Amino acid sequence: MQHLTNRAKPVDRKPMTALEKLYLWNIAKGMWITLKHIFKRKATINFPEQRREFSPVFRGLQVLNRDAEGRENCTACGLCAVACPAEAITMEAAERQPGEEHLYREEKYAAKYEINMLRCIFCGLCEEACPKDAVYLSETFAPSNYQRKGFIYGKEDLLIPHPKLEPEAYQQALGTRAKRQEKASSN
Amino acid sequence: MHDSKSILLHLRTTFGEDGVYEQKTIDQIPTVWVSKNNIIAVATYLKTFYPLLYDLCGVDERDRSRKNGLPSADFTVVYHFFSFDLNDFIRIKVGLHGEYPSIPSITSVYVNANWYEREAYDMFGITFEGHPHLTRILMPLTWKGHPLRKEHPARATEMGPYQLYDEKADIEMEALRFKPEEWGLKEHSDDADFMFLNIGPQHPGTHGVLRIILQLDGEDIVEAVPEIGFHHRGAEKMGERQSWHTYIPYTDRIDYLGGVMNNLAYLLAVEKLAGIEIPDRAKTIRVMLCELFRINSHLVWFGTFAQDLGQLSPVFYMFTDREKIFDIIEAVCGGRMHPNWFRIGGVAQDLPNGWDKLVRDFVNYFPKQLREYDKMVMRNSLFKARTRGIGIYTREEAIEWGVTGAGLRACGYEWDFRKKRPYSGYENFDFEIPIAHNGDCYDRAVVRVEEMRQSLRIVEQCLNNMPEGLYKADHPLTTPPIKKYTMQDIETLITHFLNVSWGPVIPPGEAMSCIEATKGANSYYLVSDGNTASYRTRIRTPSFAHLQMVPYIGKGYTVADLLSILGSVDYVLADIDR
Amino acid sequence: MITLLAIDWLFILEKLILIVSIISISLVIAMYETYAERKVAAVMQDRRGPNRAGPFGILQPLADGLKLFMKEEIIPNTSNRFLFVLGPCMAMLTAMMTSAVIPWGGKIHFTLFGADRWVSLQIADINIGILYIFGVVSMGVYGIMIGGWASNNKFSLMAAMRGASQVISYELPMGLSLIALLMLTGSLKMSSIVGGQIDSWYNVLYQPLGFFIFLVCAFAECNRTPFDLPEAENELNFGYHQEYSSMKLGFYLFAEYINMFISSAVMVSLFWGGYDIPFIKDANLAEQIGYNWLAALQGLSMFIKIAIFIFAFMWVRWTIPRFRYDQLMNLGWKTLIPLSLFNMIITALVVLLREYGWRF
Repeated sequence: MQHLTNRAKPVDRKPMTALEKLYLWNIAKGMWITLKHIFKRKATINFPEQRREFSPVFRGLQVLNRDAEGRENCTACGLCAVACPAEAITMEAAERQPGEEHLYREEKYAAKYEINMLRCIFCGLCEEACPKDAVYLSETFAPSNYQRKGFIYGKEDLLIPHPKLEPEAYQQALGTRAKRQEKASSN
Repeated sequence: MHDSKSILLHLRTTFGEDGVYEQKTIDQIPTVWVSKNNIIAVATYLKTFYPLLYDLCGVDERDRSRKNGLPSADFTVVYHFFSFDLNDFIRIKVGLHGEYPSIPSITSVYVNANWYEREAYDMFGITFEGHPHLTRILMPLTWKGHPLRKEHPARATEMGPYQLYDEKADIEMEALRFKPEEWGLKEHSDDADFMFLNIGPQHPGTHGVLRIILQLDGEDIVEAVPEIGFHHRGAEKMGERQSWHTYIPYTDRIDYLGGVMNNLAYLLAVEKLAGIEIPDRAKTIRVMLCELFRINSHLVWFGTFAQDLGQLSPVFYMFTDREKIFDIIEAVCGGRMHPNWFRIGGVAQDLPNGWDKLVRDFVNYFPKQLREYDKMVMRNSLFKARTRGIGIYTREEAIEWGVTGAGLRACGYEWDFRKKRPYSGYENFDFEIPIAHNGDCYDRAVVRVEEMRQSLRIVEQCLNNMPEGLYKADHPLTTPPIKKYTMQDIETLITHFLNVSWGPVIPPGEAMSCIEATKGANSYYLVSDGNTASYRTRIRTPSFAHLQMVPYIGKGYTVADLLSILGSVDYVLADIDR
Repeated sequence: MITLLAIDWLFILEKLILIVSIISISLVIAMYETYAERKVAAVMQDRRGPNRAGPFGILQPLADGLKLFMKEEIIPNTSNRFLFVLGPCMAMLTAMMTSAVIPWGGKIHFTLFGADRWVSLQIADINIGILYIFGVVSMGVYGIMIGGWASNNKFSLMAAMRGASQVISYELPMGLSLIALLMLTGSLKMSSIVGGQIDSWYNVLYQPLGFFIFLVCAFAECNRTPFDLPEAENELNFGYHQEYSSMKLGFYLFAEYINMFISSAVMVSLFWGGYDIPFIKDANLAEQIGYNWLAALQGLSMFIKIAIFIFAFMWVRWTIPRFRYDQLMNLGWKTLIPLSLFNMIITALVVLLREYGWRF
């Protein structure tokens, strides 16, 4: 056998001994292992009742963000749509009218913003592309649906609840991510 | 000692100055254009020095701009040969003219050219004269056109609505019928009738949509014909449509067990073209993630391999461990199997707070698990009885068929691209290359198990020596640019806008990366003509070569052994079909 | 009229009740074996197993059964319809028939119309009980063979061939190991084999090797891992019952579990004292609590022993890989048959020497 360097590590390979050929001893050892596993902690969780924690950076469903006053961050620049490899995002821009300053942070806003969750591959490139922190991926999974059109999420599905008008829902939508970030920053 | 220079010189003297043109490429691989008539002679000559046909692909050159004085050609066929002694590649190009050109086949010189030539025929309509069985390999037999030609539509919406009327359904069904005569298989021998058995496309032992047609004498395999392409998604075609940046998530899905490893193979080639130097921290993060994914992939292989042999419990234990790795990967990348986390010029984000604890816990936890699997699977005498002496190939055969990775190391050949051609800072890590000597299923398993231990060592070294610094290069082509500047100055914001929308403009040129992926050598051969998308993306995957060898090593064994062989080869169908 | 009156109608009634109850018990046990299999597999694999239907998923077998009944019945149009239906019926029938000769407990005593009646908990105490079991078990292979052949599917056919040759090969060492046992017991009758072990040493102490061979062969006869070649799901897509759906599939699955139950019962009866309650003198106990209670306890003891064997079947299945076909044959013909012959000769020698007055 050719050794090019002294770095190679030949692995063990002894021929089977007569005892091994009886299969019994090794089978017994294997059975001991499976027996031990009976008493181990179960690795699975009872899914609908119990849910696993996602990491703070988990890429789930998109959320359209609002600022602290509840104004939409999105300025409909379209970067997310062009950055999307799966071309799942469509939007229509509109000019902010006078008197709408409490609704939209920028002068231009997305009148229509749709993400086709069947196309979306949850790669997170939209979040990365967004210069306004207006879209990010949350820690929720896409729920099931009976119809394809149910997977086309409009603005009403994506927008985060208003932090002033529905503070509880807002906190819930922030999820454990925000709490953990607070914890991390306080430490 | 020959080196690439003397070989070039020899080619020049033998085939004349006109027939040989040397091209300079960014990746420093000697690139030589030869004429079509000489290709068999060139291949025969090269075989003594470059015993491995690493890759063979076609390029449609008709739309290419910025050729920089390359010989004119409508199509080129690109051969990559690899020499273990010189530790170097050589790239041979043959320019072809005409709408549907032809070129002599080199299957008589390199046996593993067979599938590659079929693929090039399938994708470009290039005919290989003298090929033993030139049919489509990835596309359905009834497909019209050749997908990687530039005039072929890239997506379904360009082709009009799909309709499956009855006659068409009949034609499609008929095309799927296996006709043994076409493959030169006989239905009877002198004293026996053969049975043709379809393993797959839906079969629990094939680990995906793969069809293997077996010619059986009793339970013994006389001949096996794999049929692939059921998982073909046109990843190479997508590379020509997506920008350099937005193609990254697609690479995740090539070898879906390898995760970031695919990102790495792709990005190494892109970064060569772009000339980006990666900061050390980014390199080390990449290595750590890659090795975690290697363990991950090997765990899946290990579990399913045991399951193929009828041992049903280990796969659950291994998936539990895999879940622990996924916890780390999720905490770092946000994704799990498709992390899409490397970027041109670095990685998407810096490591999160507390990553070291997660990795440390795993490094401490995993060796005990490996010992248990050793006891339960590797030392199980039934497992040994099912795998030892099955599916043997020698080192020469392995190289002949283009086997890389653990399959090659199991024949006693100590070849690991991480060691021999270090990339992404692997030269700084201390690890060993496990080898075994018999080249059978058991040895391939032993090597992979040992590789997990070595990977764990690398992860531990990353953990202990993670350098400080940037996680992304400070380079104009880094996509997207480092975010903290984006909101500060208009320059970076404009670069950000351009890079994520149109995509970065990568300078024209050609580059190939080569990494030791989970299953063997994985390469991306990229041709840029100075645009926001690649002109040609060629993905060389290890599984493709390995599966091509299965009929050769599977002959004479029984059906049950074939399943052990398939399990030990460790392929992923998405990796084969791309 | 006289002849009709002479028939012991009560006897027939007793037997009928016994038959019905044993069949229903076997069915319930087979049902709960499926549950146990899934649960055992789950806990061995760090999972939870079925836990949705009823508390701890205890109603899961009912749900599964219901599902099997509701499923569409598919008969492939290239199959032989008659044989296709016959296959699962054969499998089920032969699986059920074996239980007839197994003694499930001691005798029950009751008084009816002033007459004492003793009812043994055994359907038929025929004097060739073991031969009967062998005969019926070897019929079981027809279920596999017919089903596999009639499906007109190559996988099914290969599985059926494997199954047939496997079952036939392993019957040999099984029979040989029993001959050694018979030399000791001197009877083919199940009740006397069990009776000989009550309140005395179990046969397994005299015949450890014989028991071991029998155990291995029982695994093979039941097509359980590591001998589950006929239904090797990774190679042959579940083998001979691949084309079956609905309750016909259910019959095959049930037959497999009943076989497992019955072969455990046979092993318990032959080697582990049958319904004897271990560590206790059954006769003394009878005087304290009466024969009926004793019979109940004995039945319980039998079922506990059977349960342990069934657990062992499952435990092995979830631990080790399966053999390859030739390895299986090698093990049967080249290892087990010589071993059982050896065992037989040694036993014969010992029996002979004892007859000549040697004391051990």
